[in-house]
Amino acid sequence: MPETPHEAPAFYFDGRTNTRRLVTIRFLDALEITEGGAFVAAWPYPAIRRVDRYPDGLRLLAVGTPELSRLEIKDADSEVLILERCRWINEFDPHLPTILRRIVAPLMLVAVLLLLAIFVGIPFLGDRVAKATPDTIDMASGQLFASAFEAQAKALRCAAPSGLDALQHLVTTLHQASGVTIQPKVTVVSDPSDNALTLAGGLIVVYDGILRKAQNPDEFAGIIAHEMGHMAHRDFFRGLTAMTLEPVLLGLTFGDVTAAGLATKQTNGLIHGYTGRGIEFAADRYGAELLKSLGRPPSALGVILLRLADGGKGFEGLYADHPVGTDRAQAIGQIAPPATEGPDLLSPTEWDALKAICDHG
Amino acid sequence: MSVDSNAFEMDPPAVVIGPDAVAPRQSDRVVFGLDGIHFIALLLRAAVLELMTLGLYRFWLTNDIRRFLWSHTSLEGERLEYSGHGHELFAGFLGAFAILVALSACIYGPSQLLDAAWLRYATIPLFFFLRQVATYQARRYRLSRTLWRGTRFWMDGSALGFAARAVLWDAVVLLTLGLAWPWRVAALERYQLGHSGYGVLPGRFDGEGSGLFRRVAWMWIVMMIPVGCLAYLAMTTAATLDWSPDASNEDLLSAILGPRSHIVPLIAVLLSPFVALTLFALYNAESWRWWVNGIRFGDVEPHCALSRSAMFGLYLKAGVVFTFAALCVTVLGVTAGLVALTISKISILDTASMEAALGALNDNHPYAVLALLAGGYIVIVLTFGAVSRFFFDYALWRVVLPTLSFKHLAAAEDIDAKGTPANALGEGLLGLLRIGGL
Repeated sequence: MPETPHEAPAFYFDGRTNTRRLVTIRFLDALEITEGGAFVAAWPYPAIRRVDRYPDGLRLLAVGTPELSRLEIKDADSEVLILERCRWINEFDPHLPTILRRIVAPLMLVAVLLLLAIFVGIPFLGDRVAKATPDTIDMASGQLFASAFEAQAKALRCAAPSGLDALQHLVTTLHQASGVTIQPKVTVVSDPSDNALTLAGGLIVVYDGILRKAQNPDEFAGIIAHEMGHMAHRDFFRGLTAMTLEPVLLGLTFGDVTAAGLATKQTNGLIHGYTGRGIEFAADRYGAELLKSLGRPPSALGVILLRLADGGKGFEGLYADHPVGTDRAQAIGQIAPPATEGPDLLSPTEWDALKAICDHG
Repeated sequence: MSVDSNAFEMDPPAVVIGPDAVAPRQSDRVVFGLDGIHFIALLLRAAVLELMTLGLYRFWLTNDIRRFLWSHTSLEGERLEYSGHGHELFAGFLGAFAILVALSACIYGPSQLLDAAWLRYATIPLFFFLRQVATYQARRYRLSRTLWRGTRFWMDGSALGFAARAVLWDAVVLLTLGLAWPWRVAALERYQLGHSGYGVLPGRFDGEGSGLFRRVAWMWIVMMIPVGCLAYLAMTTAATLDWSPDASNEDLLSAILGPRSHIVPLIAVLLSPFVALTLFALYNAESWRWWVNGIRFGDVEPHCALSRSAMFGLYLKAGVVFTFAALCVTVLGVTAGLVALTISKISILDTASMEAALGALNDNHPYAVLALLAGGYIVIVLTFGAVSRFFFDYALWRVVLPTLSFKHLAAAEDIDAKGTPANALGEGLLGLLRIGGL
């Protein structure tokens, strides 16, 4: 005589009304649901999912039945049988190992992808953008900055006529030796800070503070050559790509875990520092090689970088997008001096005029 | 994708029911049967997962918490069901993120190109408006994921219409120095509940702004005392102050602290944050009671018996625990520092060598310093996140839910289902606009 299938009372909601129906479940080939002897539904075991599980029972649904139809089982034997027979029961309600498989593993994957995107993807994309940008766009972007400068900071420009002539001489010499297609436009601004930057379209801005600290034309030429390195590498577009995409990715990562703005900003600073330092080393190398090709000592760039550098060590150094002066001087030191010495880049009179470029502006 | 109730299964095993157990009508009160310790276990596990996933787990945590709270809440012996999923919140977040990036680009781009900085201020009212849209959409999402007896709650109506009303009401509240607040809440609830329902039972809100006003107006008056004192101090100080350009800051300080007539107003201003927090707790109790008592679904009338002292107790405990957590973090940090000093044999009194040691550590091991700072930051964020979730998710339910009961609940039985699930875009927007500090 065949064994009688287990049967037990349960509550059933059909998903169309909220009537609580007392039904009988029977463990046949499928889970059969009857009400007062009348057939209500048969749920195939593989379709059954657990919605919630409490101390006093199990709430189930079945894929392919009305979305909100529910079965509530409150007897322990049926619970055991259900857990035994329904292989896919946890697909909605994973226990810890399933959490690992379904949530943590994908999230770790996302985390790894984010790191890859930040440290490989964005620099690569920046590189592509830098290389693919035609000169016309480079020039047009530079024009935007030039007009903004005209509008806002015209008064800062240093324009002593003899100084401008000397500057032009130096820039032309460097440009001819460099093979860069765009004509660099170097502006010295009256500002005591030690800074120089390269924008799009060959626009190079040098702060007077650097000019004052340069002790000979070679050192100052080294700085301009370094900036021309940024021009040649189109680092402006690299930076633009990174500055646009990094905050997007980081914002996505940190979202709203309280005070996330801080985390985003800090991390952005770190990444920017990390990738920025690589870009600076490349520009240093370019600048030093350019000096060398003109028969001038590449070490001049290292010397002035050392003089300009103070601080930037330790934890704060991780945020600096320019590397530590000693490291840069050391890297430049690797480049051998030129075999034959070339002519001076500027005559002593020209150098004096250049140093005084801000005095009449 | 919910948290598994297995992990918290500590109550006695299942009770077998027979037909008799079904028939008798169970309580019309809401039963909330969840021990704090189980919720803490959930939070601890979530903290580990958040660490492992750089915080991306938060969407699943939010979902876990809701499913946990809902499924431990029952009415008439029938547990609520939360049918949302973590991945829906994640998708909502991604969608909201894309929308905000696109909107910002549409504003920042032209403002850069046209050199029109003022255009950027347009984001403030825009995001303020969007936040109201998001509030409505988020409520729609939560409501449509809430099931009882296999039937969902729902919400239709226009989020844009709601946001427009909310913004107009905010202007009125601002113009009336906050006095119109109760009418704002009542009007917006009328709109929201008027577009809500459970199955075919339509919702509505019967609460009146004047009802809330009568209960909370005294709080407004109390808060006006420190505001008035502040105005008085500003005016008398401005009158006596030396406005010449070479006047020093010390004059300003003595002009504020000096006069005897300033003592009482100063005390009132200094005490006002504590008074404000207390009043906030009491306001919450009043507004919960008023709100619940105004809700209707068909003939069903919920009733809330929440006491002011219960809500005050919750805020007091939260305040004590937050302070304690802050103390713990500080003590932990100081202890770690002392241990490090002892190991490296430096006296705390010897500040010079202490600075030298710190400087050397910073110069030689920048990554270690960074790791320490980042670790400390993460510990603080996770601790305070967990504490606030414990009090304002779990403990709030614990305090409020058992005070709820229902009249004419039979009207909500044997009704037809209605409504469709909403997407989680609003939840995503709300989460993002919250960081903006709006």
